[in-house]
Amino acid sequence: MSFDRPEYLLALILVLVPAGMALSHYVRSTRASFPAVWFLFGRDRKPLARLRLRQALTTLVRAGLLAAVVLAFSEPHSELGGAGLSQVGSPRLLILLDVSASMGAVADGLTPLDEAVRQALSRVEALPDRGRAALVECPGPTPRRLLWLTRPSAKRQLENVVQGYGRCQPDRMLAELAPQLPSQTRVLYVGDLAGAPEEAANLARLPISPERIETVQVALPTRPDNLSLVELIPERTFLTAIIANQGTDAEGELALSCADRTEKFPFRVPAGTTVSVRVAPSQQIAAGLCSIYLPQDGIAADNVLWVEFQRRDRLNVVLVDGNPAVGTAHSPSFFLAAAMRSSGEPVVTFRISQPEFSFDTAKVADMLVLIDPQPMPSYLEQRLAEFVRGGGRLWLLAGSQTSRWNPDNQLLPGVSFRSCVAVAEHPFLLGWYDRADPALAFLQQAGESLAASWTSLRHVAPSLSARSTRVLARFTDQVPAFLKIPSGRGEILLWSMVPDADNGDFAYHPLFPLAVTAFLKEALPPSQAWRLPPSCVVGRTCRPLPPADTPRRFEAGDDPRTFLGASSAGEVLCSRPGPYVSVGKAGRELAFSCRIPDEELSAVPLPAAHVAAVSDAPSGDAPNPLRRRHGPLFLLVAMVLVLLESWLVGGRRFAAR
Amino acid sequence: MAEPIRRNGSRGKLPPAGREAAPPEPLIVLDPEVERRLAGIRFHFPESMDGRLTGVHRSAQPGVSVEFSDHKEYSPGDDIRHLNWKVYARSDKFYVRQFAKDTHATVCLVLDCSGSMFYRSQTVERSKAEHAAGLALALCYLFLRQNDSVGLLSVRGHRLTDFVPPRSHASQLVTVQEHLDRAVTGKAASPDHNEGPTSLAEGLEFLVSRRTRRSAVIVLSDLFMDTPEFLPYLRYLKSGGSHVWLVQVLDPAELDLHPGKTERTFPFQGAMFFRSVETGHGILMDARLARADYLARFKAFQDDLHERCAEAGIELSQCNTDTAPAEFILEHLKRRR
Repeated sequence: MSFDRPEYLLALILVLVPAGMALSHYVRSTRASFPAVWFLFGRDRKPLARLRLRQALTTLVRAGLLAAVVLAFSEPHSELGGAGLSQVGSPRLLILLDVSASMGAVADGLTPLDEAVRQALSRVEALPDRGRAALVECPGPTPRRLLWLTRPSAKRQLENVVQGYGRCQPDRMLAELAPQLPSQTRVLYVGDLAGAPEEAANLARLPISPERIETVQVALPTRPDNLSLVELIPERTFLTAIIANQGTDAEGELALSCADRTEKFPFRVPAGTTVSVRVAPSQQIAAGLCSIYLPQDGIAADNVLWVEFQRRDRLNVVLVDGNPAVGTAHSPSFFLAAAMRSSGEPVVTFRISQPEFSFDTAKVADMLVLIDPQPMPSYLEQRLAEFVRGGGRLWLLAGSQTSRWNPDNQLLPGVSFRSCVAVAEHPFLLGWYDRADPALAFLQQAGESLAASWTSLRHVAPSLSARSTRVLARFTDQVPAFLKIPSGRGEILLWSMVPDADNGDFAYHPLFPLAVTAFLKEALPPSQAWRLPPSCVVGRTCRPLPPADTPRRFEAGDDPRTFLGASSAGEVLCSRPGPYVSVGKAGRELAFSCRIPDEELSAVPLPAAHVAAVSDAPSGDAPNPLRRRHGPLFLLVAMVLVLLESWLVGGRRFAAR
Repeated sequence: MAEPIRRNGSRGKLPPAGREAAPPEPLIVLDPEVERRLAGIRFHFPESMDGRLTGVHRSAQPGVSVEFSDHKEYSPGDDIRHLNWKVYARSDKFYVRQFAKDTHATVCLVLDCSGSMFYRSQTVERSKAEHAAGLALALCYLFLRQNDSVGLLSVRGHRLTDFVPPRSHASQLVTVQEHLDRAVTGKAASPDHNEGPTSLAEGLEFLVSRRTRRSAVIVLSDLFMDTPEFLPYLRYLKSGGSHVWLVQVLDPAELDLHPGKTERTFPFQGAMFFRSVETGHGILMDARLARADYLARFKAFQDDLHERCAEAGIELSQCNTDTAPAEFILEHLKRRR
């Protein structure tokens, strides 16, 4: 260890200060008899030897503290690197070969990796007979001990190099390898330096002499076709794909492949722009793991993304009729079921009478419709309220029987209804509706005159105490026609009328099926959905999964023989791009996907020549990263000693014998 | 031949006449100022006392006096002179009138003579033991004046040094004064002698064993001892109907009770070696830094003591050694009113 400012070491004389203080403070204590002290502190008394030990320790700690501060200001450092390593007579060559994803860009049937291997082979060939070469692939694990090979073995190893998918950082890898290198070893780095232009400068700052490092940059000219599938945005019934073009104008077809069916969607992308393509699959497409890919181009690694397509089965709607005695063809459940079936939504309606209704019946329902229900037992009210709070959808069509509901009911606490009856000559009309509500867009599309012709002869005026209640539409007597009452994760849609045969033209009006369809679409989940998996980057640890009790294993979606393990904390480290699926009782489910780092694919730096060597231009003032400065370490020691001193002294100022 | 009886009731040979050395000046004497200030003062206990003689305290038993106390249903053997005929006329049942009775009390003064009680700071004239003895003598004078029986129990170390049985005769004042003087001067003569920690509990156990019910027990001590050790005995005495009064005697250096005068408390500076007068061990501390800790611990001790006494229904008073005994007694009576 040497010091940048050795003159500061003179300050070590300060160490004598605590020693002097300890000596000067060593005075005899005054004796006194004071019973209260003995009574109050007697239990905490410590042996005098322990007190003296503590005093000695305190003095030592203080002296150490001063020494650490002085040493920290003297800027100590030590040199690591080639010094002291064993000298080997034979010439040696370390080949650091860039096999990152960007080295796989194809042009005229050749990749930069092919060119890099060719360059490395030529250097190996140039070695003398007793020369040795070691090959390290970047990215890859840094070998703990370099394997020095003869020329034929090194050539065979070079010929068998395969491309990786991560990002190469040669400066970091060389910094880790530097302590292993014999002093006269030459280093050859062959790569494209993609994604990190500063790495070339960092190479020059390594503790290896610049003359011993040869950097060869290998890259191919920009391919005219360089498309990349940047992102997928799932919508309700379709998918939007974002395509970027870094080459010249391009057009082609985006393919969606699920199971054994592939559908194609044409696109056109001008040079240097980004477009979005709508991917709306047909009904024949199968649910499951799907891949979306662009046509092969120069950099093929960024042309594919994965998504899971989910298709739901038919949804069950249970209609509970509070007036089962009404004729089948005139009951409101008949009109509602007919409107729902004609809505185009994948629903199955079940009509049951209220006496038959139990909550077990409702368990199978995705949506419940209570039509003029009679007062219910409290346990059923409670179960229905829990059903809504848990995310269930409930329509309540209030009628004369609903008016008899107890205000203390648990489904709509505090509710009361007042009957409103009109004569046939002057019926109530639909007077106002919330134009901002997307569910009522059908009224706007129908037109004001048609909306205002929708009549009702009798309805009930609900009075609700819930603040979150929202009125969607009102009749001309200001009674709300439809109300939305959110509760927990679910929602209640309250109809203030029963659409039966006697209620004006409410059930016969053309807007009635449109209203049912609009409300149904809003209430029920979509019949198909796209699920994008969490995404990870190759070579970087990520946590796409929730923690679990045990480590898990995932299967590569495109190669079932390949597995990837995840820790119990949900962390994975993938080494190749692609989708990974979990295989369970429910079948194969897309868990996450791995992508190649964007910086490897976005822009490949291109020199003018096909192959060019980067000039070694080390800057004279560049800091040596392997020069270990110990000043912070001594400051840390000083801080620890301060804490130790305060622990030794603070609050413990008495002892006894 | 029977041994002569001393004034304090103990038996033994008297010293030969003419060869008796001149008695030293007694340390504990009744101050005329105390006599003057306590003249005409009545000290009543809140509890009913159990005595055979007439006194100033309320008796637990009904008696004969002019002060009506209660009615009782007639039972054979009751004096028919006390039948309330008016009640009989109205209710057709016999009821007997009962009257209150005033009796004298038996008071036992317990004096702690442990080593810690002999501490005296430079700002006061008397040690805690001397002050407690003076206070005990003043109380003795007060109780004897109102015809109560007064006894004395002094405790030192693990043994009882003296016990004077309760008597109500006027000569009891002299007996108590002699014993107090002996207890204080005997210890003061050898303050360093090591007797171990004082156990007040043993003295109280002695009182409990004498089956003293419906009496008064007044403990004068600094209470620098383990509270849970002696408190059960006081609680037992209290449950027997006795009145228990703990008087904590403190030096101003230990805790100045005068409001706003804390400078006299813990008046030490620098490195101090505090030696225990009871065990001989010591504690070394930086007094300036330890003062806050001392005050906090003393407050915690006092709070705990108050809480435990309040929980047991025991009366607790604190007295500084620079407060005159008569003044303390009058102040206490004033506070009780």
